[in-house]
Amino acid sequence: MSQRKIKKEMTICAAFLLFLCGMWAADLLQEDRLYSEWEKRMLVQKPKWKLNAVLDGSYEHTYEEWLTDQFPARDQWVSMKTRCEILLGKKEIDGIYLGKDDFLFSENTATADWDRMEALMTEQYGKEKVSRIHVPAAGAVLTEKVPYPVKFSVKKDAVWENLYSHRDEYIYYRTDHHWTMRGAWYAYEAWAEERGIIPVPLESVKKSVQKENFLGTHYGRIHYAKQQDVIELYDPGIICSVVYDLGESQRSGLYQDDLLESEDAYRFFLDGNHPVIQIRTNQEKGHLVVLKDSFANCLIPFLTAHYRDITVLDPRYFRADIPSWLEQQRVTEVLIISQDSVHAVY
Amino acid sequence: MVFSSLLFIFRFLPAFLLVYVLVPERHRNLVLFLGSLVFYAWGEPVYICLMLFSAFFDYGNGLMLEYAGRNEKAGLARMVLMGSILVNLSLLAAFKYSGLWPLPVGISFYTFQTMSYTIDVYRGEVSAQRSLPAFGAYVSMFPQLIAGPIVKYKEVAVELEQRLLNMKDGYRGIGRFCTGLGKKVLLANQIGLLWEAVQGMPDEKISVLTAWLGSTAYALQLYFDFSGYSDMAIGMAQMLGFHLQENFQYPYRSKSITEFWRRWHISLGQWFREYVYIPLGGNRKGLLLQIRNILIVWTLTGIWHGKGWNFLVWGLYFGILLILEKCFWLKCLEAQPPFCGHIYTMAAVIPGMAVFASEDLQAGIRLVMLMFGGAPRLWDAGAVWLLSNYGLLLAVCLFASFGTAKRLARYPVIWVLSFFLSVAYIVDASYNPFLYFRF
Repeated sequence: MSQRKIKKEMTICAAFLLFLCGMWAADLLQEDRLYSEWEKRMLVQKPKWKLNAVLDGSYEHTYEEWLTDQFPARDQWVSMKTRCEILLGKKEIDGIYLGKDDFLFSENTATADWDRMEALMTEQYGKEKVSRIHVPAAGAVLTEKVPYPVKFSVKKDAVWENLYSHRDEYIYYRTDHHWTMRGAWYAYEAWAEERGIIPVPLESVKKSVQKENFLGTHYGRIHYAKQQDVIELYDPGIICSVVYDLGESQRSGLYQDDLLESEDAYRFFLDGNHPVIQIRTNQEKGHLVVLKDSFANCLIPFLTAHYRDITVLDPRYFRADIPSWLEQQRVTEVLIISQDSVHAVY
Repeated sequence: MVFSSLLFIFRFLPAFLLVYVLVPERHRNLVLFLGSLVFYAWGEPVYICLMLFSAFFDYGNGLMLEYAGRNEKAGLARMVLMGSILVNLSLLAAFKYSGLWPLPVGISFYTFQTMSYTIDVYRGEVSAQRSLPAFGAYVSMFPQLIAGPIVKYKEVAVELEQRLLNMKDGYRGIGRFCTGLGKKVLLANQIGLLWEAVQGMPDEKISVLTAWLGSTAYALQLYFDFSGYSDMAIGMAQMLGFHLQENFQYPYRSKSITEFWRRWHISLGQWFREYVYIPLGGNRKGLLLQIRNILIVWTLTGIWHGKGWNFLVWGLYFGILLILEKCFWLKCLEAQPPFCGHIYTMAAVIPGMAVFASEDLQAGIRLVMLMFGGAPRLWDAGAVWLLSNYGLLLAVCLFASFGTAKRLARYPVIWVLSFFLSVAYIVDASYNPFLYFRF
């Protein structure tokens, strides 16, 4: 046997064992992470060895979860997998649809029963006082960007039509499932027209770029994006005071500059999800209650031009019974802003 | 524990290999036995009793058979053999077919292995194993414990006593393991998603093309899953100094069903051949008895795969095809150009696999009906979507399953690629954004 061949065999054997042991060592050296920003969940921590837990299998189970959750360079491995899938010509990876022009799309499962919310509010305040914005999914508006032959389900109402007619503009993020503030403005415009309100004109809001390298939730799932997003602020410039969680949170103001550098930069708008946010403006009258999911966070600033008080409730986190909680307040209008379940069909 | 998990690859395997390599040679069987017990007990410690019972029981049976043989007590020997077979088959029946308990991992494999041992000792083909660690290592050997191949005792009897560790075996074993891992994780699991997508569709949305895509994907998934596992098993056994027989020889290259079954799950086919078909008389007692024997073997093969009726039908389907080939068209088929044989084989195998894959018999038959014109459309947007997503992977899988590029698997570069990509896919599978889009 030639010297070269022996050398090759030794190298492979040694490299294999060294790599396996090396990953183990790397794992031991790094400290456990508590929380994964991208996955939005707590990570499993190292389990304690106990005899009965070993015997009933629960120790082994948790150990395996801990190992995978804390695996070194997890995000990079995921990114490598995505690249391989793209090489194979995949257009849908782990629920993310790779569209044209670097747009990423996804389906959606509604996490609250918004129709029931609407029914409850209508019962309490009457039909005229309750309105609703169905937020269309990016894939339902940017239809030309969706990979053929996929179509996303949608309710084709005035909001959708207005967004659809401006689909060439930057109204949805590429790497995130949310709309941009510009997209939210078109929905707001359609809603305002229906309600007989004069919307704050797009030309008069103060536009500023807040972040040029935004990577959103779609990126977070597959760790791949060809283009980064820009977070733009369209500030109507209304002076207002904002109280989060009935004063239990230290946050204030509509926009959170410090969160632009976090992994979830969309939290810039209204600090992401809070059960209750109370906004007081310098308008003369009106109390609007907004029941919403995260899409509303960048639309609510436009509403400050029309009401003195805005109470923002997120029924997914608000623990008390909403109708009875609202009974103690003088409410003039209710608006529901949310995205329904969205399915891809072909 | 499964091979395609981070736990196995980055904890069990390095720890085990280090200990195995460092202990003196005479303790390696014990290390293998204990290591395999840890491997088996992980997460499901209860069933280890079952495997230990099986191991001790047939260890004892072997010694008794040898005692009976030495003292020419044929009656005792027959009784011990019957007892061993009865107990092993009852274990299998109780845990696999009664549905009262969850299926203990690997029971179909280790019961067949220990039966091969007692039968061979009874026949005097091998001498009984006196060392308990050596016999325990044979029964519980972790590389092939959960998904085969079914290693007959006589195949490894010599290497159980004495085996050498060397770089060459280590090198080749690593190569087999890495490519096997890739077959399982990169090919089987991924093409399996195509099958899942088709399986999840309501019947009225399935076109003929979709049905064929789905069942082809399943046939490929089954092959790569199973042969990938066999590769990993053979590779790891080689790292440890054992040389096991091949379990798959590119079955989708076959030009007839007869050839297909000589190339698919070879160790199971051989087991049935050696311990059922030939003892029944094989082909030496006339055509009629041969047909009976084939039917018996294929009924058993079907049942061995699971307790659903679809497995029985699947086994009989192939049994009948084999008989028909033997009696009528095998000769004629061999005279045709090869591609006729390939097309015929695939057209027979793929619907067979569709029955195997389906949750029950009706679902299997429905899918086969859809494949052969029962669907309203020849193709539709759904099929186009699936094809655009999986077309390239499908091509890679077909290419690999025909063995067109088997020389590629000799290059360490391919092993490294296969290994790293597999780890990436395994890590990704554990990447679970919690309702990520709603926050």
